[in-house]
Amino acid sequence: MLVLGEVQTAALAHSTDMVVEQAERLLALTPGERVLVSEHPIAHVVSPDIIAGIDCRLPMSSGREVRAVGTLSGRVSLTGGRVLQGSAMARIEPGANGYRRAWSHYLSRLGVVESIGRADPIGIAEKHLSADRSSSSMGMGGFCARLLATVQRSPLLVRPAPFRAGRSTLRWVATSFGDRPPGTIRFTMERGGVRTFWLTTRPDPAPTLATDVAALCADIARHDWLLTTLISIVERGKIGSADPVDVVARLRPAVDHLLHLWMPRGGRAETELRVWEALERRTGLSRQWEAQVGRIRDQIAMGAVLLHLKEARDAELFPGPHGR
Amino acid sequence: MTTADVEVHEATASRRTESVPLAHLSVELGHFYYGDLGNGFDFFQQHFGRIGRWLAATREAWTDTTQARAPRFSTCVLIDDYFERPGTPSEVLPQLIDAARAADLEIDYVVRESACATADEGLDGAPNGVSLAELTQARLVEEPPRGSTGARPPARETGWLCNGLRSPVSGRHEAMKEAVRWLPPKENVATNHSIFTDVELWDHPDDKRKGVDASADDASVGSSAQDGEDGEDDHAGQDGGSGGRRWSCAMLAAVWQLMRLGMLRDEGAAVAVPRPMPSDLPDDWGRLPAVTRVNEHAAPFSAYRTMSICAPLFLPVEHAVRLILERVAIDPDVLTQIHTRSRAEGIVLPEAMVDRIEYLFVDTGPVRGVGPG
Repeated sequence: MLVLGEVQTAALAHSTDMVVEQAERLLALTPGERVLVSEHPIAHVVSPDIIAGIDCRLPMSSGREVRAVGTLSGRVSLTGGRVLQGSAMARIEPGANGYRRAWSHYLSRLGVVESIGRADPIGIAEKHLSADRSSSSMGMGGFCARLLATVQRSPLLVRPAPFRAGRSTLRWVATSFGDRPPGTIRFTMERGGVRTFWLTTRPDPAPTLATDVAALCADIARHDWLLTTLISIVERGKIGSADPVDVVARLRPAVDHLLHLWMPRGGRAETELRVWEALERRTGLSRQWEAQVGRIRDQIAMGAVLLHLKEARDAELFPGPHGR
Repeated sequence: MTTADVEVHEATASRRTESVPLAHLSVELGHFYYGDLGNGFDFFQQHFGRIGRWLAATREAWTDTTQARAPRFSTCVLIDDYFERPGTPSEVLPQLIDAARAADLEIDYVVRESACATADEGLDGAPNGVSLAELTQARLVEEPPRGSTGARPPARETGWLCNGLRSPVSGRHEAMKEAVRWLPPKENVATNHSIFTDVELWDHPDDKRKGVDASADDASVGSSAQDGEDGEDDHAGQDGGSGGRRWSCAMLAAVWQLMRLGMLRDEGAAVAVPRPMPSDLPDDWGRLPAVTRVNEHAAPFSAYRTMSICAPLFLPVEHAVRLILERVAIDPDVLTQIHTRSRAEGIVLPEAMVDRIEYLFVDTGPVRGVGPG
């Protein structure tokens, strides 16, 4: 089995955190198709699947290419009314014939891309993860970006967004072959902000594995993005150099829009919990988040104390008519 | 007390898809247009008299190939009340039903063509407010020409759907100084030579500007502004939904096949559910159910496969129907349901939905079909 995927994460360009009912309308991208909503442990709204047909070259790490025909399956999700994610995935399978078949064949297996010619699955996986941000296998990145743009252009949105945030990219693969033993995960933070995730599965994975991995990767991408965004807000806060009141004002978007969104391994399956635990051990994402949150709270507490002290001192120096 | 695993389900977090009753085979006995509906009892009797043997052959062939012990067939006719308004149901339906009986045929279901196009008005106080044609259009996935990646935005909605690359000739080049070399159109999956087909899905008959492609930005993903290269033709905002849009005969006939195959759902719910024939037939087609069950003992309206017995005159329309249906991505849950149920009955269905549709193009008598409209 070989599944390729990509997730792009960004902040919804909307002035407030969007409530669930409005998010449902925002993500109703296909008439007659349902938008999925879950409110616990955090509001999470998912668009219907969006299908894109492709017929292009699929590169491999050896430099060779095979022809690939089929469909990418994509979707958009909004978490906590703020974190917008566009994702795409495709299962790569060898085509039965050496030629492209009638289009109805590919539409009877949505989200499957068939390779025409001699494909090296590991080479395809490696190439998918090694591409930089500007290119991607089968235009998956462009597809994710297009999905995000569709939502960000919605007339339901009211600008401006309350804070600046970048867009992050996580590429993933799930393979049932290769040198690594089943259950192995390789998570890397590449230069340029691209994250990669490689899961080696058992040879006979459960049918839902691809969607489970996609959900897990979206979860990881979301928290990685939250941490990156929080760090950037803290950096822009000029702690220690600017006036404490200004610092608190600059940190405020984090408190208003981000701090409550941290919810790793939210009510997910056992294997996903294990993946999260392993990730936490190695990357310390949560520890770093806690440290940043602590820093923000300290700044706010200190700002309050300083303000209080200043008021007290001012009162002492210039007592009013009812002073003392 | 021991601890137990707790299962928590949030209703809106799961996609439940309603299943619909299914016959083995849905046989279409006629698709009648305005020009034919006024011809009276004799016309219908001749029509049904000519196709009786083909219906018998169809049943026999099905029973032989599937070895089904209790085959379930249902018959249906489609009446065009969309492009023109024929005589009233109280005039037309008794003639139609009696003529079929006189030829030893039973019409199980009568379907209104406008039910494929416009929102169900919600008889029995069950409004669903969906246009089946819109549901179908929303599920169209364009066939990618060679060299297309996922980054390619879908072609702007023009109301046309084709099976390849169009010839790059447009009216525009005449005004240009440089001569544009003609290039042939190309079918994506051609067998040596192309049979390129371009199908019109809808138009705006009220739009006086000839050749204008009414840009409909609907909710479709990625019909972005940057691919609007025909700046002067842009009049977005004219649409906003399907107001004023007239669906083509081919598009409605594609919807008709999807209804008969039980493939359409609105947010997971069944659509155009058959309803019994009213004892008092209305004088207005709009007051007749979308799908009327004429024969109360009939097998289900939708079926694993469909057979249409029709005049060769309908071949171009049905060719277009197939082109459309080859590009409709059916909800995988629906496909799985149908697959599971057919397998439990020992019936093997072709993988692609379009391959479950068959035709008999035979002489059904002097048919006028759809007029030049």
